[in-house]
Amino acid sequence: MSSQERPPGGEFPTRRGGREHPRRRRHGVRAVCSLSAGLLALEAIWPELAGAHGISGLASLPVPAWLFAWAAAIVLVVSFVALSTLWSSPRLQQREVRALARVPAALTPLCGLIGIALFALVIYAGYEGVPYYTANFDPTFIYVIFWVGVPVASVLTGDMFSAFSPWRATARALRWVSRRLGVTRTAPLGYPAWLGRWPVVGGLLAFGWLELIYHDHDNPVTLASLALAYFTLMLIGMALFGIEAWTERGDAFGGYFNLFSRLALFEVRDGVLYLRRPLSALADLEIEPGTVALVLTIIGVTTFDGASNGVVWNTIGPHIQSVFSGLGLGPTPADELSDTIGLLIALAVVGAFFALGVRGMQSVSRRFPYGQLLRGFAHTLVPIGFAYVLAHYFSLLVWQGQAIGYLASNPLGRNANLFGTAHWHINYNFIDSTAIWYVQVAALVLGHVSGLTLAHDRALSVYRSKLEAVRSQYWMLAVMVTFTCLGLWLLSDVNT
Amino acid sequence: MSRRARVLVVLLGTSIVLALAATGAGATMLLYLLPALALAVPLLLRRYPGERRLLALIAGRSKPRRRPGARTTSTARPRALVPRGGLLIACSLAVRPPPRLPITS
Repeated sequence: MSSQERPPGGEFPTRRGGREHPRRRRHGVRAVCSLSAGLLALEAIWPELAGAHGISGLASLPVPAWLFAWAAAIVLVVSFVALSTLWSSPRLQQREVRALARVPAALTPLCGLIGIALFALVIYAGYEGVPYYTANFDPTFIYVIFWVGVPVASVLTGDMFSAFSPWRATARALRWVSRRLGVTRTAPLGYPAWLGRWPVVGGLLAFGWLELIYHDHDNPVTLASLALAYFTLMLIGMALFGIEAWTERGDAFGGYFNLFSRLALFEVRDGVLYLRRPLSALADLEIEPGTVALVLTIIGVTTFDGASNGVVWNTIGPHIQSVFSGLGLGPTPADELSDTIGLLIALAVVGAFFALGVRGMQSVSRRFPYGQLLRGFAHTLVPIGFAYVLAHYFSLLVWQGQAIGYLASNPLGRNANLFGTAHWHINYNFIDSTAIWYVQVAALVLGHVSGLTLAHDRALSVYRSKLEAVRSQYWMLAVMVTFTCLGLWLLSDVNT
Repeated sequence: MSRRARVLVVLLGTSIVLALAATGAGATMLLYLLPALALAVPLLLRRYPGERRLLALIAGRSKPRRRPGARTTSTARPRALVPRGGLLIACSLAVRPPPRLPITS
């Protein structure tokens, strides 16, 4: 079955595609995909070919790491040319889905039960387990499996967190029980439109600050207490504004994972599993207040995480810290304050790059105000945000993620062996650092090519002439190349 | 480009240069950011490198293409070369028929 729905189009008077012959369109898409894949493969092979040209930068790389930034830029430029010439009408602005299968009704409550059980384990391990971050279940589960693993799983499978969300499952269970008892009530308040996705932005900033800046961030008791507080806050929000309304906009993690799940090929709606065209769900993104800030926050927080371990911040940071120490603050608050300033600088730099690109696009045609362009092209940053997250945390996921094997058997760190896996250990030979680097480069390049594709498709639907569309995309190309080079520099700065 | 955008460029550029100068990471970071600069500088000067060629490529692709090997055939209907009307009567009555119709007209 195939169905077509009109997207909530945004603010532009969009030009719909689909007049071209379908076969020719497929040829165009295939050509762009094969060209990008070929260039990626070439880029992966290139260091081997150039192996004799000397070594610097990353110890295990045969060419300087900055050459990868140049190669990535070439890939983006070629993708830009290929998109401009082969992708001549908008294809992602119209949503097309195909039903695959019906999801069993029992699956949602089952996933909810698993989510609640894991949440209960986090709380129990936090308060009852040993206070060492390597031996306790909580830090690895929250910072690796939840914070990094769930976004990756969301991109692969769709919005799976909405089924596992413990607060949503609890609220739905309470609603079910109250209906059984004959008590039916509607949400007393409507979700305010002006609030949009700002709670998600606030939640992500708070979590980013906790993870990257707060000195006691891996204390299991702190983590369990914060998890309980968040759980309570979510239940209050859902009681006031309704379960679904609050889950989509008020739940920081739900909103964050949902944003990445739009990169997936699958979606579940009304109990049916659908297959959708790649990237089409992002073109469909409702641009509510706070959406632009949300995508910039995702990139900015990851940028700061990378920069905070690199040479630039390790040189500037201590100077700012000494200023706060001079004001009479202790070393810990001074360190946290200087890092908070660093986080704000990273957010400002990322925001400034995007703002500059949009200003440039505005100079191409005066028909669209700056704010409208900013909102209209914000969705193009989502694949970049995911690319940054994957590239930056991939090593954490594949190495530290293995720890969950033995922590599951011994969550409290008290010599238990529930599933017989307590003797497992982290195998650092599972993947070497060179392979990790290639995965990081591939993730960044693919993410930016996806962003470029989304921007190109939106430009075709927005601008009247080819000239305006092409010129506007020169600016987006500059933004994408900048973010790619910045991402690779941050990664290499950490690794070297 | 508007005044605000230029101020943004100057602020961004200055802060990056200051950060690089302060940390001594200038040369390395410059190598990384060189492709971005190579793209951004012409754009800030309102130049779009390769734009004409790209538009020509787009225009070339948007023209309908003929399948290779397809023969060109005339779509005009073949004209009947038989005499009709008055000419038919004249032909039948004439001792010596009138001159033949030209093959093409």
